[in-house]
Amino acid sequence: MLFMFEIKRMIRGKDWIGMIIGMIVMIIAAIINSIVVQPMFDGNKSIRFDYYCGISQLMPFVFAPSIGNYLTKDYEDYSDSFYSNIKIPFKQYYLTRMLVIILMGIIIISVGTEGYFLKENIEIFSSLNILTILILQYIYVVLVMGIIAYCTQKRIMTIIFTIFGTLFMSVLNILPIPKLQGNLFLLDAHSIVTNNIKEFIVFNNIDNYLNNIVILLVWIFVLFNIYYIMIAHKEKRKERI
Amino acid sequence: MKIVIDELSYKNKLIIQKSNFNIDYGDFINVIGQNGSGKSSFFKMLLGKIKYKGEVEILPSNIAVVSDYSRVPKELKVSDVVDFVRKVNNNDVDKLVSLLNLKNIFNSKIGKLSSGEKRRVEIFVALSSEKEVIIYDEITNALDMRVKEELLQFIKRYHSNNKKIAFFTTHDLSEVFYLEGKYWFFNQNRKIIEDLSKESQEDIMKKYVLGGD
Repeated sequence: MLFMFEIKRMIRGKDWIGMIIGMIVMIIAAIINSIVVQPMFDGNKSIRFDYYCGISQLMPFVFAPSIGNYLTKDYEDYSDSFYSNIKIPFKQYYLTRMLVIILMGIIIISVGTEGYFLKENIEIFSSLNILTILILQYIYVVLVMGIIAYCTQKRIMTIIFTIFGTLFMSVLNILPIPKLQGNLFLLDAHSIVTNNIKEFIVFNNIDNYLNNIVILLVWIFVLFNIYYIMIAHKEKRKERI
Repeated sequence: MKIVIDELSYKNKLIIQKSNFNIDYGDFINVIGQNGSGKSSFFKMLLGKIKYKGEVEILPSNIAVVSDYSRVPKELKVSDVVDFVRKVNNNDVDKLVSLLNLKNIFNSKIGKLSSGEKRRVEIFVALSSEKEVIIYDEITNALDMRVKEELLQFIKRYHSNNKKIAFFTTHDLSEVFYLEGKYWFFNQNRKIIEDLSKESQEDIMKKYVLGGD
């Protein structure tokens, strides 16, 4: 019931148009990158790696306006009180909205990725490997933005914090700090995930791929718990006498 | 239901002290006071947003709020909201749709409604919930006379025959005296004075609203 209502809101709200435009921009950037920059590897390995890098590294910048708008507008418009007025628990409302934006992104990224890889004649199994990592990274981005949106409760601040936070974390990620270098942030060129993907694409090393899945799932689990604790705290405040 | 406030402070400022009341189901309470007298803080306290010393036997989750600001998602049509509310609550939905004349704006987008129409949708959402307490927080702000009259007539009629508890606040005393019910005055001594309905309207205005003794 609430899920369908939120889907309707998402469709009528047109945030998905911004995400589709963002996806097209990222694919074009990935193509330009693969043409301008000398291919690093042979044949489709380079296409896959360039595409992965293009989407992964641009995602927080390109999706920030649409996701930021979607996650924050209810705070600014006090629409979260609408749900409270009809006795829908905050937890259910926040998690449903989060689920809707995640599903919308999964559809857009899947169509974009598979469309591009089919055009480039990449075999389906190879494309699905990259797609899975990109989807997990997208969920990571949405959860981080959900936490930022909850803290700032302002559209523009959520977008600015996401964009500049990504730049800041990318710089922090290359600092030569033992054990932390490459592990602080998962979406830049020097992250452990990108290095693993490179190893996986070039040497077909499945261990690196599985390592990526584990790293991303652990981060998603941690971020989801932080987000859940925040909204549960809000719910608890509402229920106390 | 009991409301006992030993002390309510907000941003290091004492708002209300040593006030206590009993509320019954069906009460219509007009909350009156100057700007800054603590009406909004009192509502925030009821909604669980501000800590206080005392005891309030109303669960924050049992309160619906209608204010002068539209909270219903703007991107949807009125019919989408009515259908959704019907599925969630189905409490007097058809009756309220008819009483609030929502059928003639069914296909309009919430964001494109006039202030009066938005207010009607807000009231529909609040009243169709199973919540027992409704706060009407300055809902007539920025409404023209005709719309204001229609809304007040509806509220008076609805609550005269209903067990929900209502808190109504406005700066227009003629609205308060039209709606009748109990009167709670937030005075400058940080106290709430209850039920002065027997005093003349002029006295009430002089003493508690215009800042007389």
